[in-house]
Amino acid sequence: METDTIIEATELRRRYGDHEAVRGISLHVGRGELHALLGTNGAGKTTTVETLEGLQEPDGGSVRIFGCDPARDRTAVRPRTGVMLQDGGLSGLLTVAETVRTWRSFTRGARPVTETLELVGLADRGGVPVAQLSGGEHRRLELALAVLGRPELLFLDEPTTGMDPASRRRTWDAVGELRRAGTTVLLTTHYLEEAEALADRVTILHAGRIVAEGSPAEVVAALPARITFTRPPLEPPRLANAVRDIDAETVGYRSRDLQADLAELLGWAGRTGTVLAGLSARPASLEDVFLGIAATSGSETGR
Amino acid sequence: MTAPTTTRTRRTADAPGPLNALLRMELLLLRRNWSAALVAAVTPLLFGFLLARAHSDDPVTGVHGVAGAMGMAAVFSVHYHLTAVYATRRQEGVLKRLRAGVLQDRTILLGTALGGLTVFAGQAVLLVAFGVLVLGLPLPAQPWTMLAGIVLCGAVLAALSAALSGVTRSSEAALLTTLPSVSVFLATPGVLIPVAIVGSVPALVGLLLPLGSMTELVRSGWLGTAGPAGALASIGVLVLWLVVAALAARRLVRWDPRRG
Repeated sequence: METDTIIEATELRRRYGDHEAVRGISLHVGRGELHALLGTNGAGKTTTVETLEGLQEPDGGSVRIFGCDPARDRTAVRPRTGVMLQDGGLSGLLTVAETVRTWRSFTRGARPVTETLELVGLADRGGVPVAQLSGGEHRRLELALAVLGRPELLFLDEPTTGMDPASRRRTWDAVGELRRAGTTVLLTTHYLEEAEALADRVTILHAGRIVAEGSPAEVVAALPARITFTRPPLEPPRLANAVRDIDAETVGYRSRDLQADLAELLGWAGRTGTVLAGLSARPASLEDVFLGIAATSGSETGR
Repeated sequence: MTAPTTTRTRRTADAPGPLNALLRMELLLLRRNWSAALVAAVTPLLFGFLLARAHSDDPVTGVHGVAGAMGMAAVFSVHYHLTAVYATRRQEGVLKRLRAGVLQDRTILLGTALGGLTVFAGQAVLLVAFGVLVLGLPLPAQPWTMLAGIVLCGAVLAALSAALSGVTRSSEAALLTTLPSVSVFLATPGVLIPVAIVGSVPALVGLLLPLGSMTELVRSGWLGTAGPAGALASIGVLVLWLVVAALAARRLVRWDPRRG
């Protein structure tokens, strides 16, 4: 049965010894979607992706890719997926072109070597041994191998980690090109701007659980905006839609209705003649989500 | 929305089979890695020639010598070399990356072994040619019996290598992890120690070991003394070892690089 659901994961669980890396993650990715899994190191991103790729079997829950089990129905699933692992997977002694030629033999309907290298901007590096590539070039070669078979579904595990800005831009361009051709993409990243720039939907993981999910705009909208200023001599007011935190030097509000709360605050300042030094008001960003998560979780780190 | 599905089914005619591609990759890597090539291909062959020469006074001891040399080549070119190769490919992440693609586990393991097995096959041919052309030994009387021993023994040693690589941290560590098995294989009567000078009990024990059965099949096949019962017994021993080694490989082989 062919539907427009590409990835369907239900209540995934995966443990390593005593450590439960993934604790009940459900995910739904439709055809043509670019879905980003965001999270810090140890959030469970790679474990989740490797389970979806069929490289690990879940301890609980189920995974369906194109309606099939990716670990058991390899012959049905693998010709339609492309995988870029988090690291490695290439012999340094082969040249770039030899590597692509070798991997073409494992791929049905593979793109020609030149086309593949052009897609990731390595067309002039064919004769270079893989060991002599820069970190960014190495990752782009891995991306090239992942898309060799024109996959319908592409897994990218931290595709731009450690890349210089030029390499990152090239990678984003290549991903954009693949998407225009209709490729569904699941990517993990810990760069917020990457998720905001590329993703239709984001799922934020923390300590093996989903903590936020939606379009980048929705995830941000669901978060309180922030108002801060230097602590004045007078006790600042409580605002109708905000939580107040005051320390020795600054006053901060996390506001669910920035406009109303800000108006109330400014009214109070006008009436009392208080100067709000260093006043700043801004909507939440994905960064706030991250910082919030990091702050509540200093003690709990992954494997 | 239909574009991806239509392009997916298109096949390119020039893409060779995966086993062929894995073999070519391994041979290319062996050529570029001189120290590995020396250990795997050249040294066993040189020692083999010397070993064979030392026993070449008459056809029987000559054939025994060449068979022993072949056993030694198998130990280094297949067993030691492949343990290091499997460990290296795993640490490079190559095994894991291959496993994320369309290939079956057994295709990946077999394909990775083909380089070492091809080197061994070449050594076996050169050793027989050396025996016949240089040492003046008779032409092999029952080449199929020899071939059965060589192929089965290669498969047993390759499977044992895959299993051992699971406990081998790096290619360097292979020297250590294969030390027990290499010692047993080399000490098996018929390899470095001629069967003629050991007692009947060690000789019998030797025949139950993979290298003992292999050298026995090579010796008796070459000289034409292999009766059907003896040959089948040796082949049976090797098949049994192959089953055990394959089960061990399935249990012990690791696909993810070991960290730290």
